[in-house]
Amino acid sequence: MKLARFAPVLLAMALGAPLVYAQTAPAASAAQPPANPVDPATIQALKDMGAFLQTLNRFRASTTLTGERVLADGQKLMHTASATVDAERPNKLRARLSSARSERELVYDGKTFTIYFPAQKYYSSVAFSEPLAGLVSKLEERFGVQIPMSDLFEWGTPAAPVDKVESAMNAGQDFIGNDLCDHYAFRQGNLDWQIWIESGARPLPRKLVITNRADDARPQSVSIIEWNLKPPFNASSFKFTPPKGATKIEFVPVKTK
Amino acid sequence: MNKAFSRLLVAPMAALVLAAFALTPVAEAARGGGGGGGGARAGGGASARQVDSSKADARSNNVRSTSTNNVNSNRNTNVNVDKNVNVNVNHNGGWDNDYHPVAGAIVVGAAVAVTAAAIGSTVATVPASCVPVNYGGMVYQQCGGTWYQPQGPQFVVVNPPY
Repeated sequence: MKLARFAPVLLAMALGAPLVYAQTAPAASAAQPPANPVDPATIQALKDMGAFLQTLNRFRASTTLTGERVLADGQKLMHTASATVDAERPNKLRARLSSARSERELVYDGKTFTIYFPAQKYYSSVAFSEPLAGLVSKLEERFGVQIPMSDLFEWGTPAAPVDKVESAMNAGQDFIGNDLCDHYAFRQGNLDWQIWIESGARPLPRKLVITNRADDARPQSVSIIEWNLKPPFNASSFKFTPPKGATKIEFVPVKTK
Repeated sequence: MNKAFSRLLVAPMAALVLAAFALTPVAEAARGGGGGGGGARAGGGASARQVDSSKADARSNNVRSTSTNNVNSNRNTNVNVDKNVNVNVNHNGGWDNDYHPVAGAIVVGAAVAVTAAAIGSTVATVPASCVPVNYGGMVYQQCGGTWYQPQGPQFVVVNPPY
């Protein structure tokens, strides 16, 4: 291997033009990059999905997520969690989060955001007035609280700029459940991500895979998303009433050291 | 980075197991009355069985980074970015993986040693003077300089989250 790599250089030296040859050789052997790594039709599909999501005034989205954590030596462990999000634009949301470690409920009525911990019967509330996309980003920024499937509220808005995508390609078609989907793959920053968008009249995201390249071990998450566009909830679903015996605790903002 | 961790990690973490505090009301809540009625778990859907991770190897909690769950947020998913004292502002990998990192706790504990109780030790109940707070979407009990996280029916001593 090593010999093979240096062979051209040795040859060049023998020919008496080492500098010139050494500089040009790598360029000649490098693979040709595609003319445009960002496929416009793939970006358009992402935009179409975002626009469609923004037209959904009421929906229920449920997800089962498989995530990974990387241990000190690079070994990975996998875990699962699930969540259901009920949303009503512009500013109502209720989410139930469940994993082996904890269970939580998030409730937003357009004026107050509450997080409730059923196991301890504790809850914290804070005033918010943003629409859902703003809630998602402010909540994470101010309190380090993540809303499941938060991308759903950001695609199709300036919070999800498509010009940050460095590579975009169509990866063909696939089935998610019984539904035919278009499969797309993207690279941006430290993330490689793939999305399966339902083909046809309802361009809904049905599967999302995100590979974190910031760590050599490349921990990956897989989210399967199920949709109900005629959700059964009503206005009272977004009102938090503390259960009997529940205690209010302080909602401490994220602190930087 | 890993080497530095390993050196600090030998310490007294065998007893420490994070997890397991999912579904059963903790001692504190039970004392407070109510005892977690059915309505409290409205959305749950999960069974009432409780996860018991008391046999989990301490290494399984020494997490250096996690997967990320969304494309558009700028969340930093490297849990232990700074190996010295600053453990991480974004201390968990997302809504799916809600815990206080043990690796960070060990490092800080070794470097600063601010808590009276041994990090990683567990207690059945916390003193009445403790104040529960919600930081980063997680429940802590702050008792002066000592911080606890609920773990099943017990509490584990963790480093101050902030």
